[in-house]
Amino acid sequence: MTELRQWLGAPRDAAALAVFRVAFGLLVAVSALRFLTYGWVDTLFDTKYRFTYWGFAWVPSPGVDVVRWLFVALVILGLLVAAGALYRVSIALLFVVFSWVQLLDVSNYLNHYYLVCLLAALMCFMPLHGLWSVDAWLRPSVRRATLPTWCTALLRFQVGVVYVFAAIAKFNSDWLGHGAALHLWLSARPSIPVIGPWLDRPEAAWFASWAGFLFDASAPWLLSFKRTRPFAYGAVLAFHLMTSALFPIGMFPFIMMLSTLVFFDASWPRRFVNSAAPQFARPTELPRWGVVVLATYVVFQVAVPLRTFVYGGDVSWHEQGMRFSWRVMTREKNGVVTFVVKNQAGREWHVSPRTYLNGVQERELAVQPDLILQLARHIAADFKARGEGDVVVRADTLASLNGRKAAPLIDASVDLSQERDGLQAKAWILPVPTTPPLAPALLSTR
Amino acid sequence: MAAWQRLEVMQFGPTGSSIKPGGLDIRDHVYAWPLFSRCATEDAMVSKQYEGGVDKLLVNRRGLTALEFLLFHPGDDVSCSATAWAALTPAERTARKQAFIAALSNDVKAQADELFAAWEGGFVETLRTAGPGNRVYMTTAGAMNRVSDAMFYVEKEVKDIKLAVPMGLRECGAPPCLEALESQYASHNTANLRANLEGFRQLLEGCEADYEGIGFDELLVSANAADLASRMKTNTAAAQLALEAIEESDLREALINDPASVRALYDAVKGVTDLIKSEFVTVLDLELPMGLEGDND
Repeated sequence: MTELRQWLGAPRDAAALAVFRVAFGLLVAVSALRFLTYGWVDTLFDTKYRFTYWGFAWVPSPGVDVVRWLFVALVILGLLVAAGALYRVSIALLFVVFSWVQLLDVSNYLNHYYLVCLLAALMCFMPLHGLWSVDAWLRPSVRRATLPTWCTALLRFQVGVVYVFAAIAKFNSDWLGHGAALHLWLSARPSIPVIGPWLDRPEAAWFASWAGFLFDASAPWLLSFKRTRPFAYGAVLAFHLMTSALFPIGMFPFIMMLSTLVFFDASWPRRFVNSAAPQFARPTELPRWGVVVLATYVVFQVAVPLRTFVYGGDVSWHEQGMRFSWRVMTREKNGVVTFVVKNQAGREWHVSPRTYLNGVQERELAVQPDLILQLARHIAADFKARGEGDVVVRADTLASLNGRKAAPLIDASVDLSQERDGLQAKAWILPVPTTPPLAPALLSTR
Repeated sequence: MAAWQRLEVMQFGPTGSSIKPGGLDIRDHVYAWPLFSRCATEDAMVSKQYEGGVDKLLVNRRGLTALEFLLFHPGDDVSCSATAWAALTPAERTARKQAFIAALSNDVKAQADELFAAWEGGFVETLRTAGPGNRVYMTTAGAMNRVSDAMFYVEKEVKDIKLAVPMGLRECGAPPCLEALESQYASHNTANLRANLEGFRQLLEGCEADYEGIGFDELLVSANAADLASRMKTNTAAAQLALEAIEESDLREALINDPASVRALYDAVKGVTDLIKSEFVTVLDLELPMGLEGDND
């Protein structure tokens, strides 16, 4: 235990994490700027209805005009963090504002936004402004050439968790046995220069599926060793640049390419600025409570993605435990939902989700049972408010996972207005179809 | 009208919205339904706005919807501009109505000619050469998406507006909501639906006689989804049969006398649209229409 505390408290060069701070701040700023310039703030946040996260319905929605200013604030805060100016305040505000925006609507959930929230939260507790920052330039008292090892270790753990669980998410027959999702995606991209004509070959999907799995499974380990690190980082660059070119995944590849820099030697940036590594300060032990806090965080980050296995079944179908689990682009799924509403007098309505939702929300709702439940309950409340009294709301659903024959996702006999959301397994989600996904056999001719 | 109703399901390229690649808004200029204002149309007739050019009129008072009203509305009454209308002699009223009809007809003809010229003059080639270097459709997937978006007409307009609303399944106070039916004046609604389904089937199966030729079914078969292609064709044919099973030529009468037959049609059309929104877009990796741009992961 003492050795662990000494190791976690041991000083390391602050240079690598200073660069990480700069890159992180710039990425947040660019990401927020994209929302503003592409008009995504209006299209994603100017909605008639918003889906709330379970346990976070209390998060206030400030309205689209304020959200637009929040994104402006994120641009500024990102730049402040990058510059290391007013770092303690700016990183804390960045975490709060970014998390607030993410919590506004579940249908906007993306794994890389969640990763940004977590990294920002961790950075709140790390004095990353001690080197190469405005703060250090103006205030000698904050200057520091070293950081305790736990800072690097925790960031490496966080980035490593993404890859490991992304690999676990791919460890299934749809992905490895059939190359199903990638076959659907790649075969629809014949216009890609050079490789386009070969992308509809089943071998291409199968190869890409295994390559993606092996990359995710090995990247954090290979990045951890000096000998393999350059090759592993080359693979990181190649993999993420390829996914960026092939798929509309926005900032995710760039976040990962820069985040994985935390695996490099703590002094690596000094090679580029002709600066000598600092004399290490006297080693200090991390306090016991610090170890407990770190261990708690680590356990939490491992447990949350693992929760999906408690539910059993295919998470890509029932989606229980899908979020916060680093299941990054692991399935192709589309569906359709019609809410069948009946009042006490027996009158029936067919309510299209479009009545309440925008395109993104409707697409996400159609394949995510907890969102279907939320909207069903909202529809019941809406009908009641319109004077129709207590109504029964059932969901007529069809979903297709990885090209399977479409099947009902929700038990259409269940009155969803009477169901509650929560962590318990949802009995009204029907089992995944047992038919195989749509994927041609290997070496077949097309 | 039937010819245009087949094109309703093909709102891409010049026919489609000008905010989409290659769009010229021709559809809205020819047939903007459900955008139609009887009051505004009458006002345009009474005040001879058509003399300034029909192309300057808003879409809710021009095209086939305005023509249908002027040609099929019985009687000589107007609901708006009544005082000015009453001050005219019967001969003057007839003359203005005829002049407006002639102007609207010429405009529809001009729009149709423009559409034909746009297709023959380059859009066919644009569509055929979708991919790198194409200024309108930079990817084949993008071009295919525009065509598949058009197929959603069967869901949004046919199922949800032309059928569900009059049936009282949505946005209707007391069913049936007959005032929500298409073709209020010519009672051409079942014929319109027939043409819509024919147009959809042409996109799905092919545009030649008996739906032969190239359609999405070939693409589905090549994507290893012959079973889906078959089910889509079966369901579309079932929707057509359900329509033919409605004995009344006017849905107004069918909704009063035999609502079950209209419900059967609605369910059959839903059988088609459910497949489009779930399996079809999945197998071909298409984006749903109205899907907003954004990141993904």
